[in-house]
Amino acid sequence: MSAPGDEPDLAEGAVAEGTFEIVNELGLHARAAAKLVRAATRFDAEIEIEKDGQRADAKSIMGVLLLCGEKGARVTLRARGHDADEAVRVLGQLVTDRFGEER
Amino acid sequence: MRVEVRGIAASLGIAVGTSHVVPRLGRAARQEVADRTEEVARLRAAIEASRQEIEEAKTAFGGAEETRLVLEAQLLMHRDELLANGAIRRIEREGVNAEWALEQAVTELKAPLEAASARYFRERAQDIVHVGQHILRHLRGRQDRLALPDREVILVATDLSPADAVRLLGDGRVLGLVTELGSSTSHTALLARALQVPAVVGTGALLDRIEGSEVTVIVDGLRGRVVLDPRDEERAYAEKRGERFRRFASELKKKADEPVASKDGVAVEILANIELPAEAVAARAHGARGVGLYRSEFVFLDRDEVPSEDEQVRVYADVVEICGGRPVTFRTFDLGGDKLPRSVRVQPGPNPALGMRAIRLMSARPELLRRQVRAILRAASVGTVGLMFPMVEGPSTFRVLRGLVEACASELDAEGVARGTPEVGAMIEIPSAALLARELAQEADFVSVGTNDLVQYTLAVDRGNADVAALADPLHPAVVRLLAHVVQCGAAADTPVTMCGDMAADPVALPVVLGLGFRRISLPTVSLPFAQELVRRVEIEALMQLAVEVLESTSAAATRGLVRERLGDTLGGLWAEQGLS
Repeated sequence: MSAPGDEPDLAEGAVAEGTFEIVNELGLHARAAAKLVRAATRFDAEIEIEKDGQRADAKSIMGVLLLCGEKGARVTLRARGHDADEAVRVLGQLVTDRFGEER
Repeated sequence: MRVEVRGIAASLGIAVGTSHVVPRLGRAARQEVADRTEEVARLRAAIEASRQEIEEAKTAFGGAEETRLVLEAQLLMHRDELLANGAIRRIEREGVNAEWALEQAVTELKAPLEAASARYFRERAQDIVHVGQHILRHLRGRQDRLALPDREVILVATDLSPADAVRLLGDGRVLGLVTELGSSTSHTALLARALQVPAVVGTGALLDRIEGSEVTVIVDGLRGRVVLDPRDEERAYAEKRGERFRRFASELKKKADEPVASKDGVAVEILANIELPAEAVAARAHGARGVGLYRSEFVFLDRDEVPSEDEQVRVYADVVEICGGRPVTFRTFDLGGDKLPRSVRVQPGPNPALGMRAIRLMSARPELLRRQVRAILRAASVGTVGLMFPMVEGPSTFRVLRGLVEACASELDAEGVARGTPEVGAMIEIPSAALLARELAQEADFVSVGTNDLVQYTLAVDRGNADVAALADPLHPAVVRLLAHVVQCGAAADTPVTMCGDMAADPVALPVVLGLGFRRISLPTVSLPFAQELVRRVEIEALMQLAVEVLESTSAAATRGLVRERLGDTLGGLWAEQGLS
């Protein structure tokens, strides 16, 4: 596990990457972060999330929260592992769908 | 001894009961430990015990998804190695006790959040603190579970962690909650709302005033007030209001988000009057279409200095954000000179209501108004905002004020500071302004009638004087005719006219107000469900006919009699709920 700012060592395997804009009103707040982390842990791939050059492990709620991802911020998801493609797609969808929030 | 404090209305409702204080958790002390491995094991065990307690709370709660996610986030933080490793590293390197190591790790982790620009993220720092404290209670052992006494209580705490909030507030014994810390978007507030426990948060220091004793507490989660040791009649009144709110809430909640229109299909925009940012949350929950009157002065009372422009921007932008796209109209400071912060105080003069008040003060303190106008312009960049000036007596004054807004806007543009373009309006609360409504309506983007002062100045009745206050009836024919004139002038100039005084909350006066042609009404949050319901029950056509008759009336009493007689069948039940026989 790594502190925000450190780059997790991405293991061997397929690599996928995608950049998404945070569109929900409250941004990457605690409950949204919980959803993201919960979804990320379902994948075997190692996943990092980056905002403005700051990187965090997408499976660490503290790390995700400490990115302070406000509405309008762009985050890049980077995954490595056999299910990397699927991971970036699913997590990116979650961000784009406002984490299931109304606004 | 009676004590009243203001806080943030975080969960609607009113509760009266006996206090139960949750003892403060003291700071950890730094100690050296002999066995570092054992200390790490002790920390691990405490984290696990704390996690299990939250897991249990989550299972027992089974509530809405949003609430369970709050607990889920806390659980994930427990499992997060960033927190555990931060503490363990300190134990291993420095040979310190687990309590101290944990507290240091929490402090370090939350720092970036505390520095964040968005209010929401600053508050999340508190979530991490909650996790730390929850673990700390387990490390200390003795008070690891906060227990409730065997009676109904008003819970008074510095702050509650989400896990404690769910466990304690879901217990059924907690009638109301008061916390010294917190805001309307803190997780404690969210949980109190989910569990429907009336709550006031962010009261500031309060525990010291009751520690060691049990006192009667009123938690007014509608107005954001807490009263310790209230007077008997105050207590009885609070209980009555609480009962009324519960009845209303259960009936009207279902309809809160439906548009408000009369039986004959005329839409009426119902807005809220608020004093504190967090009241905007309550207003939304009650279906307000926005804020028609934000009394900006309340945020700044009891301070030594007028808040800086940046601080004002933060407060105003918060309100605009909470309203999420619905319009917010800010009224600039409306205070007598004696209520200003100490550093800029002005002598009130022998007759304050007619003296240096509101915008008049600003001729003596122009920098204060400029600062506020700039802050409102900046806050307008995040949403739909109106800016209105109180105590305008006629069009020439309004012209000067509008010029000031334009000057401030140019300044901000020149400085490259983001701003919006709010609608600029005048309050009509001095009879001269009502009489000159034609010119004001032509020049202003909107006008808003403040009935409390209009009544006071038209009828020469001091509202603060109990001997004459009863004479201040807004249905006095002189007031009604002034209102009719203002509405007509607004319609002629195609300028929106709002009513934002207590008259709109008067159950008998509101039908007259609608009949005169007002279609935008702003009133206290607590009165919103009533007004919405009234509009839904009436036919505007009938009220307009009634208004024609009311305009011929020669006394307030005759008008009240007439309205009661004509609308008894339609509104009798609603009036009875409002305490009118």
